[in-house]
Amino acid sequence: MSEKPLTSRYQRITGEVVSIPPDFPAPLAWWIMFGVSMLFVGLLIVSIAMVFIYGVGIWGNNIPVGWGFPIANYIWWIAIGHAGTLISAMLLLMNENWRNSLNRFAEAMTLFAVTCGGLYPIVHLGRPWYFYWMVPYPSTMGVWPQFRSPLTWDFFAVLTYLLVSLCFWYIGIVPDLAAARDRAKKRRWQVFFGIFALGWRGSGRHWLRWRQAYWITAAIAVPLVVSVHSEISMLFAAGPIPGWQSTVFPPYFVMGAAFSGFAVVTMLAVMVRSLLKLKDLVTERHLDMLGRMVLATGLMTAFGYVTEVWTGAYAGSYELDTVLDRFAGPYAWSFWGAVFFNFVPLQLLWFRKIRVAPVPAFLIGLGIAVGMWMERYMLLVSTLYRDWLESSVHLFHATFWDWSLYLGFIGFFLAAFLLFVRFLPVISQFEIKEAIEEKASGEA
Amino acid sequence: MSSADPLELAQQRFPALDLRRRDVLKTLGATLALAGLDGCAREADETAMPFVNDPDGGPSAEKHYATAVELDGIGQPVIGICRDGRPVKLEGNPNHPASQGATDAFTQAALLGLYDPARSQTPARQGAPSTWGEAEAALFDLANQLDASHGGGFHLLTGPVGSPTLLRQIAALRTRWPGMRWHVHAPLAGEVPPILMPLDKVEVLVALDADPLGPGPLQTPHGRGWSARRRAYQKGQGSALVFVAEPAPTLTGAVASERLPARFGRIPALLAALEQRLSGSGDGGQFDAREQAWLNATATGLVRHKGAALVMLGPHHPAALHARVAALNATLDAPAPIFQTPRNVDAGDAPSLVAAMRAGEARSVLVLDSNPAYSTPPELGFAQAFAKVPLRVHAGLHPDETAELAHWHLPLAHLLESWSDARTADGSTSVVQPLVRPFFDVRSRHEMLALLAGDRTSGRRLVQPTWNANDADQRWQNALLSGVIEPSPLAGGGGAPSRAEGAGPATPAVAGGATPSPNPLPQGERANVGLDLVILPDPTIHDGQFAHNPWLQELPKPLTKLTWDNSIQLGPQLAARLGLENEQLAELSLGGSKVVGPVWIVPGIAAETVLVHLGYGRRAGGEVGKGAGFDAYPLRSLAAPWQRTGARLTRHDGSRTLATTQPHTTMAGHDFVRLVDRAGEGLPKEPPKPSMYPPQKKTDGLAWAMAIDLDVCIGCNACVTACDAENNIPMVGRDQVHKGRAMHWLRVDHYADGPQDDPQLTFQPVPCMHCENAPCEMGCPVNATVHSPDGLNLQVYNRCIGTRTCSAFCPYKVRHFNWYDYTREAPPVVRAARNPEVTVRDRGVMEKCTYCIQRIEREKIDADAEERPMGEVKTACQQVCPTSAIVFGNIADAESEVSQRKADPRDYNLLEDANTRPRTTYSARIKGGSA
Repeated sequence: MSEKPLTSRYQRITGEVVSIPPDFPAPLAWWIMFGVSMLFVGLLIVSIAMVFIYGVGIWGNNIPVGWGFPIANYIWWIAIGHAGTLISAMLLLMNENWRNSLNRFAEAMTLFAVTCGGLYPIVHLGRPWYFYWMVPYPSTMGVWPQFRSPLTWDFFAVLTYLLVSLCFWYIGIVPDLAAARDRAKKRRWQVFFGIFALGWRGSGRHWLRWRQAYWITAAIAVPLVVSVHSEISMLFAAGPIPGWQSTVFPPYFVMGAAFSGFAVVTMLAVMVRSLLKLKDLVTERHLDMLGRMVLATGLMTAFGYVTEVWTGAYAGSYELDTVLDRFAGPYAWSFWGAVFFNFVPLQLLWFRKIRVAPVPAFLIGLGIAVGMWMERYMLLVSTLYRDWLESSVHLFHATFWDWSLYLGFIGFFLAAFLLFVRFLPVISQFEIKEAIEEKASGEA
Repeated sequence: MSSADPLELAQQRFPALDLRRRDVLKTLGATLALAGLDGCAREADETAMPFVNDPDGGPSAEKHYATAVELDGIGQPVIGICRDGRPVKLEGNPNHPASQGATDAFTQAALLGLYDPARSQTPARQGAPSTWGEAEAALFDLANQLDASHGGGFHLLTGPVGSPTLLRQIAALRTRWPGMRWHVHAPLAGEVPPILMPLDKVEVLVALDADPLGPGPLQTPHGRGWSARRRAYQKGQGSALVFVAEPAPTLTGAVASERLPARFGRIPALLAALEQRLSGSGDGGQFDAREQAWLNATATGLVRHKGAALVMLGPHHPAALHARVAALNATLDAPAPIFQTPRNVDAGDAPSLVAAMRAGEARSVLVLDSNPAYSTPPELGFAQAFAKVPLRVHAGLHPDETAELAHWHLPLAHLLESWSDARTADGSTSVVQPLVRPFFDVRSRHEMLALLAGDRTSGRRLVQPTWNANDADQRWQNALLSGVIEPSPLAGGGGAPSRAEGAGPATPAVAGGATPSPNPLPQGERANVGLDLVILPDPTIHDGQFAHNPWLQELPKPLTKLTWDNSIQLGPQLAARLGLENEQLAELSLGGSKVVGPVWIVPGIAAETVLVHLGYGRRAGGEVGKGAGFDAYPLRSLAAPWQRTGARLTRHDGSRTLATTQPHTTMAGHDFVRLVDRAGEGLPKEPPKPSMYPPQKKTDGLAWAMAIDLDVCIGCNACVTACDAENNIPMVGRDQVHKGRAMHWLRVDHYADGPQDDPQLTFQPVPCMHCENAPCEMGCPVNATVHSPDGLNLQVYNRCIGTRTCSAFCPYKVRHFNWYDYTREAPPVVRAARNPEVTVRDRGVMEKCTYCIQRIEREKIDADAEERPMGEVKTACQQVCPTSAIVFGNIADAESEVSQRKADPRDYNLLEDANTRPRTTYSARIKGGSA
């Protein structure tokens, strides 16, 4: 292949990606979606204000179900974030080039999901204005966090994860910001991209440093996925509560996290692809690979379900009570709902035709997002509402404000993602070009 | 006299009074008066005598006064504890035989009644605020008229009267006005008056539809007596058997060795069978297998323990049956009663008053501390008849249903702010001294009657003549210190009844004019005529007088754990037949009256029996009780106020959510309450399991722990209410309880296991376990719950950020969270009732039982100051418990009572599987043993 067509292809790719912010391809659709999202952001603000004014009593939480939606949703959000890291960092380290079309927005998804997830435990506190007491700072009173608590480590884990994800995403986007800067025609876009491109000139030394930084950050990020979600699982597994105290929880949670994350990446890929008309960059191959990832992690999660039930049956007594109660108790809908939405449509992904078809892929992804939410609800509520003593059994019912906060965070996530799509290069153009280059030189 | 200037009157009555200050208070009204409670100006009456000498007399000094409160006219001796001049806690009087340091839940909650913001504060004339000047003028007018007519046409209606001074005053009034008539309205009175039995001497107690351990004025002394016997049995002395036959489960039924759910119509037959078996004249009629078994066991027990066997029959059964029971007890050589509370035999009843009012004979009526407009059945027509009376005066604590119908409503003082006296269940008498000066411009009941007689003498001077005493009198001072007053040998003319009077008749007196219940049905016959209806006073709000007391409204009913509501209760089989389920509305009709209420299924109610509780559906008197429950008084008839046949129960559209603190009452195959078969038997001890929790630092020689004996717990809830009072537990209301947010630090779990028509009923008080390996401490990210070296699991409120991890990890779910700001919105007067030694918790903070750490710390400080080793510390729940089921102390001291309890082979850990090594442990219940 000659130099010329390649260069022009590079230019086309660059143009396609960086021209999106100044010359957005679907302004009407974007505005409609953004408007709806902002309505939910308004709901989020009202919901948080209500909690801060009146207290967490506006939710359905009670004793025994002291944790309700906030903690279940916290796990759900953080879990979604993990797929972004896995796609970007893990596949980078493994030299899987197909990631290059997906990694940028998958990383953005991670950032926004982790933000939503990270805010939840703070909003959920009885006295949120003291959340910084979980930080190990040398206070004048000489009081430190309690280092045996899974929550302390959760706090560290999520904070670390957020910072590392942010670094990774930002390092990755710098060359593209520079490209966007160079091509921007309007002054305000030049200034905007110019500031955030950090003076990137594309020199060889820049690329060398960049590559070191990027790979090192990736190498830090990948184990974080495992440690963060293992740590989150300790929130449950460390408590002596039947249905929680199980050694299967860390891997089970990590797999579930990757599963739900890949499902949401699939949804976003379909959305980005059609909204921004990037069908030749996010190709069928990408959908196919995502489908395989979803299928693989889904089957591993299913194995987690089986193990959990088996552990309960083996342990007997209270553990078995909990398992049976999940099958047929008042929250059976959440168990069977999780089983259905997570694993039944999943089986369609064995077929390539379904994997590469955007609409079924999107719907299956949506189903898994719902199913995994039900799983978190089931793990939390059906365990707590009936733990040891029959006398402390009490049902949990979510209130309007539980739902409004959840929908509000979804609105926040979508609004942030739409802003990202609107103003930043959604696809890592230089990495795609690199991949094409490598492929071309390999062929040559 | 009638046009006396109120200020002048006040000046006469209170010479030391600064009238200008009083005017200011009057102008600014009650808010300021209440705000003033926070200060330390409101000391008790200067002549009241602190039980314990006040060591330093500083502003925060704690003073203890021996006094009493009343329930159904029967005194409950207490020590009132005042801090900063405010009464903050009532404890049982340890030196009084009717208390021995314990109280029931009603007595604990009487404190909150004192601070009730709904209490009447000024006289009201036809609903409009008035002054005492005008009220006194009206009363003096009345007195003048009555002097002229020798009392003709005047009727006085009171509740049951036990106070010697009140009796003396009424007697004096009747002497002065021979034409006046006195009526007693006692909605809860049975056919025989309450009798205190020496249950500590009873090896075999047969309770035929009787509930000596149930809520009521005799619960404390009966609980004391029964538990003393039971404890001896645990050590292998005697039997302490209880046989109960009853239509609806009671607290006595719950502790029974053999409980027989029996329709109330079967009670006479069962009694007859016992009579015949004891006299050897046959086995007395047709009985099914279960009844046979019960009769065999009961009769065997009675025979074997002749001399220490006792049959008790519910007081609502007809006098004829009571006579037979008395005869049976005589043949059994049963222990003699300690005291039978005498009836006010010289008083008429409410129906005779209604007849007089209807006939137009009643020209003026004074209702003193009674609420007949609410607590009489509508068929009596009290309200309509009352409306015909030309002068209607009501004196009471609340603007209640009767007050609304009266021309005058005069605010009465609470007993805790009055001088008075009371007769206790054992027949001894107590002086009631005020713990605090009245919060409002109110009169005590004695001042009220004195005013009626045109006499403005104040409280103490009205009580002293009864006892032939004065302030300087050593006997009087001793009575104030000890809480017991002996009638003076000189007091014959004073009118104080002697103790011997009315003591212990073997055959109880029968009230004149009372119609016996209709003869109950034999089994099987007329089964199709309808259901049996059993009417009982509510276990927590009694006859309705406590409907506005949040501590009692939110106190879970012992056998249903419902709060804030009554319900139509029936057994599971009947409910299934009628297609009814919990919370479904149903219509209960009988004769011409019907009520609609929510259904609650209670295992252990006899077949074809429906149970309702009185006291709910209040229409006036305060906001707290409004809208709670339904009024069951319409279901009563004059002839059969307690048990009726022929009731119909049908499904009604709709449902009402009921707030229960314990939706599940079975143990689901687990053994939270463990049982052993007989005394001396133990539970297998499990060796401690390995744990990954690090060892805790320990103080030498100090390790706090608690032991709770499930064998003597009667589920009376006194501990829960005492904990509410001691630890400033917020009441959260019906909706919050329904959501699962009740705040009681100590709860009493109730289980009804086994066959649902004849379950094993058990109770289990559950405070914080103070686990040595506490999961909550491991879970908290900010060190807000930590372990103290002396073994307490501490909760540091101001470090808590409210993650609720501790509660999620707590296997016992004894932690409670301030979901909202439950404390700040309390009215100032309720804040004044709080214990100043216990922090009030803010929104967003977790709280739980502390083992009354404030009491531990106080003992620690006192011991330090006096340079002595620490002595005994009693938690509030332990102190109040009438059966001494709860013991707290130091397990590092092998001699302590708690160590001895834990050494008992019945001792076990709740949820051994959770491996938390709890410091609170339980002694297994002993199933029954054999006769």
